[in-house]
Amino acid sequence: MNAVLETLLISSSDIQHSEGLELLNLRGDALPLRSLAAEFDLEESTPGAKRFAVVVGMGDLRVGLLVDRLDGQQDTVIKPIQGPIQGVRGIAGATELGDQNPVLVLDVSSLVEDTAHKKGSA
Amino acid sequence: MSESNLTAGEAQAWDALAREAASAGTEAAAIDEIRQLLAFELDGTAYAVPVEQVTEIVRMRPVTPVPRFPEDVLGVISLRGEIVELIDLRRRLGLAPTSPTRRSRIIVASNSAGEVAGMLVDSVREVLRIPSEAIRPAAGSESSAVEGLCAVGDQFVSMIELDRVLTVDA
Repeated sequence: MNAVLETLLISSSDIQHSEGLELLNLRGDALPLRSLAAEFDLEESTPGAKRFAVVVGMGDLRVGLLVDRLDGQQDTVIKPIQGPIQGVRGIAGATELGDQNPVLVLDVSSLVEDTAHKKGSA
Repeated sequence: MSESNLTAGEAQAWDALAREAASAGTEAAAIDEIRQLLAFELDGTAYAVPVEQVTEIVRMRPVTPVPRFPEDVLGVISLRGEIVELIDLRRRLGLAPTSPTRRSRIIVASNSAGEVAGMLVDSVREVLRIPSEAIRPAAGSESSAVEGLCAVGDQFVSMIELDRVLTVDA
């Protein structure tokens, strides 16, 4: 994914707070963190001492998406999701990696945009 | 006899006869029309959908839940690399949800807009050939997904209107 700038392994103690937002000091810049589980109303796994963040960017905006685990990197074709439901915000499509297991592909621009708005309204 | 030998009156009569024959033909066809329905089971009850709208029937396969999807949509499945939404037909019809078993099947079908989706059912029974006049309108409300009932043996089969199932409640 060309939107991914880097991946980080962070410990809970690295996370700072400002106005209800979680921030990470990334080489002097404040990187807003966002839990993907919370964003999608999923049950959040109890954060261990170490967490993974995927730093994504759109234009000048940077967001660290907190995830449970990193599975790897793969080149693939993003397929649209077929069916009556016309698009879900935050999901760009899906793909299959050859094991019949569909993998959802995030729409980074809308996720970053949502974080920017949240920051503005906070 | 060549056409030019017909008088205008005769030609008209022949035309009328031909029209009558043609319309009788279509009427007869409407009466004798056989509808092919794919019958399946949900919670011990028989349901059916028109065969023409069914693309394929597959076994249960890995389902990836999708955040922000409605509750009665289980997620997405992969059909030879195509990603398709999977509807829990039990929930969509207001029945109690259950876990898939070995007999569970996914009926892949399309609505009139050409949108394809999978529907999880308890089991698939058979293809029924029902004369269209044997299908009675359903007693349920207008909004009900069941559009008709037909008797097969001593059991009623509920015909599902796919456009009311393969849709999203706004």
